[in-house]
Amino acid sequence: MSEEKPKKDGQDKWEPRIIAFLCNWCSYAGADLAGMSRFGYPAPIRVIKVPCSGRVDPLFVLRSFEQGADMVLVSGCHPGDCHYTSGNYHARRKLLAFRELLTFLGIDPRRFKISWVSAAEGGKWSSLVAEVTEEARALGPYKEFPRSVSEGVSDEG
Amino acid sequence: MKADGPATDALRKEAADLLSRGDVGVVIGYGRQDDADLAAPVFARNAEDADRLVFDDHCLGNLAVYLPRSEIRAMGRAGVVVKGCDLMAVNVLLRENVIKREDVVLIGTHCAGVGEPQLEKCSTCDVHSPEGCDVVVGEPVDQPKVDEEQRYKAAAEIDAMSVEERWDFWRSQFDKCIRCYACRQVCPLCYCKRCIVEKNIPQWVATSAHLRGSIAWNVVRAFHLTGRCVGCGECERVCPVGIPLGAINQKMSRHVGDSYGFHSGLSADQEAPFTVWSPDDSDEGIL
Amino acid sequence: MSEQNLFEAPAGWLKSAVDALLSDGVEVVAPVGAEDGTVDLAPVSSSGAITLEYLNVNQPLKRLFFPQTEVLIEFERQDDGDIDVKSQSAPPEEEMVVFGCRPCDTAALDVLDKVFAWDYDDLRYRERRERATIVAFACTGPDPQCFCVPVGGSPHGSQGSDVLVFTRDDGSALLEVNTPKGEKLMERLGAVARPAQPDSGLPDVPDIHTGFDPEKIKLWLDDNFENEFWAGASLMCVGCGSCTYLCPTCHCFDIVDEGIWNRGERRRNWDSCSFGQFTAHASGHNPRPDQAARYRQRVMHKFKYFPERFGLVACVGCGRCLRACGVGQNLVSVLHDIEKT
Repeated sequence: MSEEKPKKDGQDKWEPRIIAFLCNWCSYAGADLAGMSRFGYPAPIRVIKVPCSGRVDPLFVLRSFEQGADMVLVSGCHPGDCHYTSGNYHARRKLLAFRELLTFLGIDPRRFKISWVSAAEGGKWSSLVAEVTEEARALGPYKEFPRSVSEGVSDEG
Repeated sequence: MKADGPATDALRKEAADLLSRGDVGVVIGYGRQDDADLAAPVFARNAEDADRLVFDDHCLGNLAVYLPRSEIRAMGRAGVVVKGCDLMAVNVLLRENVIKREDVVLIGTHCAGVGEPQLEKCSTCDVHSPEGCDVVVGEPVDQPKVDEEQRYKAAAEIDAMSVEERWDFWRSQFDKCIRCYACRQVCPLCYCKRCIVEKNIPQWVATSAHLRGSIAWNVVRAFHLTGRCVGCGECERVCPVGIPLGAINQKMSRHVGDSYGFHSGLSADQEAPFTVWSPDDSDEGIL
Repeated sequence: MSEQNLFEAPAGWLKSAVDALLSDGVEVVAPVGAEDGTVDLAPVSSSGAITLEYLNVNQPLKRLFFPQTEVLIEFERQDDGDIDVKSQSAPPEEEMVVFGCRPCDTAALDVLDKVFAWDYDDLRYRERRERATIVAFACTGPDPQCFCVPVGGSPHGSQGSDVLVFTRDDGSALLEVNTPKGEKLMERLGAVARPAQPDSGLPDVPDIHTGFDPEKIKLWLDDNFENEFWAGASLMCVGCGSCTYLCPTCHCFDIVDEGIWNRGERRRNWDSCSFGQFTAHASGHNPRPDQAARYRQRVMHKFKYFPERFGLVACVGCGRCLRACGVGQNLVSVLHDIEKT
């Protein structure tokens, strides 16, 4: 597994791979604000922008695990703030039910996070990422989950 | 319940009447096949065919699965024999506008439970007498009070395990999966013209029967039925390798029941939990 | 082959044979019971895991030689843009001895052998077959779904097995050796079995009550590709693949590439003519547009096309399709209906 391979820059410490699906209007903007405000947060998180948390198909989560994610985070606008009025309400029902399903099947629920981060919450984003990254590090590589190709995902890809 | 009992007589008469009056083009019911444990479907097209219909405790299948099929629609209005549990699936098909009420004639059967030994689901059935059918045949059955815990027993047993134990359990179950899709094909609510597994640009769910593909398939199947599954148990019954799919369905039914007070299939007018929302929904578990 | 092909083995012979093979490092595959009561062939690490309580194993023997999914090649794009292709290594070479399959399943190997050595010599299949010695157990109690006799088999059929075992009630057995591979196995097992007296009679063949005439059926199939019969016969079929996947002779497969970014693998997976997508074209056209056409294909392939091409019916009458079908689609009833028309 590539997790065991030394990093290119010579660091040989394993770092988790965290995939974050952020809604365009709140959480992505919040992450952007964190950057502009020079709030630091750990680098292992890989951000994928989606129009709305309601856009996140549970298959995105599953595919992330298949392709090497150790943790998946979906973040959207706080309830009441959705740019599309109700996308995050739908997401809430859907993703919480999905987590129930994963949990029931023995897929560790600690590896699937859901959060609300507004465009003004650069600070929350920064501390949230620090917190979940620490948790992902503690959980270690998600070796149990069957990955897409036996070698794992190439970092260079 | 005997095949030559009063339910069968009444059923044959109703079906023959419907067919001879031209009210329906086909009556989908159960038939007797030698001494098989399972009463196979019969598609009666005329009054004589109606004599092949039976209703007894070998009538395990959920015939609602045939209603959306083009071969059946082409026959015109369809009469269908439904037990209470099957009717719940019909309700979802109506709710989801897959079929129209005026296109079907529902022939309900009072049912005390089917299978030898009796199917597990029958012990927690609260629809022994179907409501909302066009006709109902058979002797009314007393409706015992159902123990709610009993209803979710299979799921509760698995829930009692640790997450690691559950992973080991399901991994060994999904390892058995041969990807025959019997669970999907026999499900009245799996009516998609093209299943996500068959979509290959991109291929979301690997078709290979390795663990990764079979986990993805079983997760997708379960989640697409969340808030829709009526617990008829057909998927588990037909699984040729014995995966306890019913437990997964129970778990998700319980989740939408506990969280949103929703129980699928009780009527055709419900709003499914994933089509509606409330600002008051719980935020528990969200960071 | 030597003259001596019948051996006598005392009760407990199977345990001795399996333990001897395992200690020689031979892979032993034998019937193992699962919690849900089903029995399947699986590699065993001790003779204690083996069960003899079954009519037939749940899944067909073909799995061992034509697995449900297997990697054919692996590929990876290199930094210079070239694609590095690696053939998946051949199946392991060590010997494998399979105990406990039934004569219907071994007869099915004849069907598979013909297909996989037909216009293309399927190396993987052949290598797996070559390393395996098959010790089948003659059938003692066929059930009403069994119909090996009308399709040319027998509960005592030796087709496809290297050794055929007739087990007696007291646990002792007569072993009939049918091939040089079987002879080699008997030599290896040495003391486990000794040559039987020439007058050792085989037990009576149990009766199979189902009858039909495949030749008569083929004559009807020859003229009735287009016939309303197919629509009626397939109406209850819901189009899953359990009959084809549990069938010991069905051998259709699909080839898929699975991968991400710069690397992946090409796999061969079982496929089923019952699926709508089996024949779907990229254009959207489907030459087998409905279940009637698909079910017709299944019957035609087994009872017309295969006999025409290879001289034998591609059905061994194991009855799995009847038992597994969740809605009660019954191949034998359909064949009877064809015979009657």
